[in-house]
Amino acid sequence: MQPGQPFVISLVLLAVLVLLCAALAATLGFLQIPLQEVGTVFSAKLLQRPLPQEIDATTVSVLFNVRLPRILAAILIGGALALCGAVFQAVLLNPLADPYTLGISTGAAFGASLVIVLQIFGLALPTAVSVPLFAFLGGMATLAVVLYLAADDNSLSSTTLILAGVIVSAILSAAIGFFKFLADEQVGIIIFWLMGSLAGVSWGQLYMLAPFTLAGVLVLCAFGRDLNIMAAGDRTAASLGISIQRLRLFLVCICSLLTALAVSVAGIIGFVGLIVPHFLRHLSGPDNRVLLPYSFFAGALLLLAADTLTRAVLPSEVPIGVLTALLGGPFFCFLFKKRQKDGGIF
Amino acid sequence: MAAYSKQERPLWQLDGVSFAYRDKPALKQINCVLESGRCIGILGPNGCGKSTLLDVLAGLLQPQHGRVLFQGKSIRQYRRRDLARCLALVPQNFRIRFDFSVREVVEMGLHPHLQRFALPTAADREQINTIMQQTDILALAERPVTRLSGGEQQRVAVARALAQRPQVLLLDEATASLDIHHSLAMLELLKNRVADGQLSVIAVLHDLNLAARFCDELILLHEGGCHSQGPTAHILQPHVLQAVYGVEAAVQYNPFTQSQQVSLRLPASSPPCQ
Repeated sequence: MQPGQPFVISLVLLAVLVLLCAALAATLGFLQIPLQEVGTVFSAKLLQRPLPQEIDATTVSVLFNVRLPRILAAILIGGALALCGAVFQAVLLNPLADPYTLGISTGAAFGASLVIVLQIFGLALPTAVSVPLFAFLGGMATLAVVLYLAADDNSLSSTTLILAGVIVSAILSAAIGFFKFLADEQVGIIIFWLMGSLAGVSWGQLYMLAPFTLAGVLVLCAFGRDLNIMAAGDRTAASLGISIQRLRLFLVCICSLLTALAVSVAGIIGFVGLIVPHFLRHLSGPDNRVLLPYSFFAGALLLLAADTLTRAVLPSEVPIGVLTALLGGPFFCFLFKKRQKDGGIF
Repeated sequence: MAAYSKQERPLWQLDGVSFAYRDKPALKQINCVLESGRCIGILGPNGCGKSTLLDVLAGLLQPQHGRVLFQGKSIRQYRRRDLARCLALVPQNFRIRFDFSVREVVEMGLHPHLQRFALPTAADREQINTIMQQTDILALAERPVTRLSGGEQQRVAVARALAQRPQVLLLDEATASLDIHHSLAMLELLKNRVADGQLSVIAVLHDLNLAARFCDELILLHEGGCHSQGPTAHILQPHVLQAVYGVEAAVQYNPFTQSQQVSLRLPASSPPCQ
C-alpha cells in the first residue's frame, strides 16, 4: 500500500478505534463504571465544567487518577515500542530486530535493578525518582557503549551494531543475574520490574513520557521514505542523496531514547516491537511511510488490550511483559514457520 | 582552455587523485578528464580500483589526496541531494531487503526530486511506466522484488537509476548478471539515450567485447593507476591488453557487430591456473 487517501482514512479509523478501546478499557475493572458515566466525567474534566452531582467521588478518582494514566501509558508505550521496532528493523535491515536487539532495554533493566540492589544495601534512594532515572541512564549508557564498540566500522553497518548489542546485552544480563543473587530474599522486586507492569503509572510519569514520545513518533514517521531506500543497500541509498551514517545514528538514538523512556516507566515489555511491525508488513507491505504510523496505532491497541486483559479480566494481575511474551511468542513462531513454507526471505 | 564555454566544460576533472582504504591503497595518482555526452568504459583486472573510482566520481568516497572537480566545481561543495539529482549509480549485486514491489523500488529513484512528504505526480508515474517498459520489467511491476532472479533484479536497479533522471549514469558491472539478450538490449537503450544527448554513461565493464561495442572511450586501470585513456579503438590494442591483463590478444574489426572485437588467450609461456 502507498500513502494516499485510503491510507489517511484507515489511519483516522485506527485513531478512532484506539479512542473507543480506551473508553471501553476505562469502564472495565474492579469497579465497573458504565460507558455513559465515563463519557460524562471526561467531557466535564476536558471542558473544565463542574461534575454532575449524582457521580460518586470515588468513581471520578478511580477514573481520573488510576485508570486514565494507565490507559494513556499503555497507548504511548505500546505505540512507541511498536514504532521503534519498525524503525530498528528498517535501520538494521533485519526483520527480527526490535528495541531489545541493541541491548537498550537490558541496559535500562540493569539501571533499575542497580537502584533496587543499592536500596537493599541501605543506600537511601527515593524509588519513585531513581528507578526511572537509572533505567533511562542505563539504556542510554548501553547505547553509548554499543556505538563505541561499533565505531571503528566506518559505515556503522547493521551487522556490527547488532553484534555489539548482543555482546553488551550478554554482559548486562549476567550483571542483572548477579544483582538478583545479591538481592537474596528481596529478589521479587527486581523480578517484578523485569517482567514489566503498567500498574501504578502516575500523572507525573506521564508528563515525562507523553511529550517526548509524541515528538519522537512524529520525527520518526517523517523518515519513512528514507528508511525504504536504506533497504536498497548503503551504496544505492548514498547515491540517492541520503547520508546513511548520520541518518542511522540519528534514528537509532531517537529510538533508544523512546525505548529507555518506555522501560523506565513500565519495565521490560517484550515482543510488541517485534510482532506488530512484522504482522503489519504482511497486511500493508513493507512501505515505511505507511508501516510506521500503522505500527504506532496497532502497538497502542495491542498493549492497551493486553493491559486491560491483565488488569480487569484475568482473576489476578499477570505482569504485562509475561502476557505479551506468552501471547506474542507462539504467534511469532507461527509466522516464522509460515514464512519459511511460503519461501520468502524474512 | 580559455575558449571553453559552459557547455564544453568537462563533466569530471581528476587531478592527482589517490584513495586508500585504511592503509590499503586503491587509487594512485589518477589524472583524467571525462567529457559529457559519451559512453566511457572503465576496464581493468580484478581489484584494480574500478569500483573505487566510480565511488569517487559519485562523491560517495572522498579521496585523501588530489581533487575531484564535477562540472568545474569541487565535488565536496555539492550537497548530497544535488548530486543525486544529476548522478545515478547502479551498484554491483543490487539486493534489496523486505518485499518491496518492483514499482516501489523504481519509484525510489524519484527520492531526490521529491519533498519529504510529497507523493509522485501523474507525470512521475507515467515516466516510471515508460522506464519499466524500456527495461522490460513492466510485466513484473507488482511482483515483490525479492522473488525475482538476479538478472531481473539488475534490470530493476537500472530502471531505478533511470527514474532518478540523471545526466550521468554510473554503472558498476551492471550487465554482469544479465543474459546476452538483456545485456545487449540494456546497453542499446543507454547508448540511444547518449546519442540523443540526454545522458552520459560511465560504465565499469568486464567484457571487453561489450566495451568495444558500447563505449566511445575507455579508461584502463592497472594496479590503482590510470594505465591509459582514449578512444576505444586506440585502447583496445594487443600490446596494451598484454601489459594490463597479461594475455595475448587479437583485435579485429567485426563487420557483423560493426565494432572492434577481441579474441584472447593465455601466453604460451604462462603457467596453467593452479
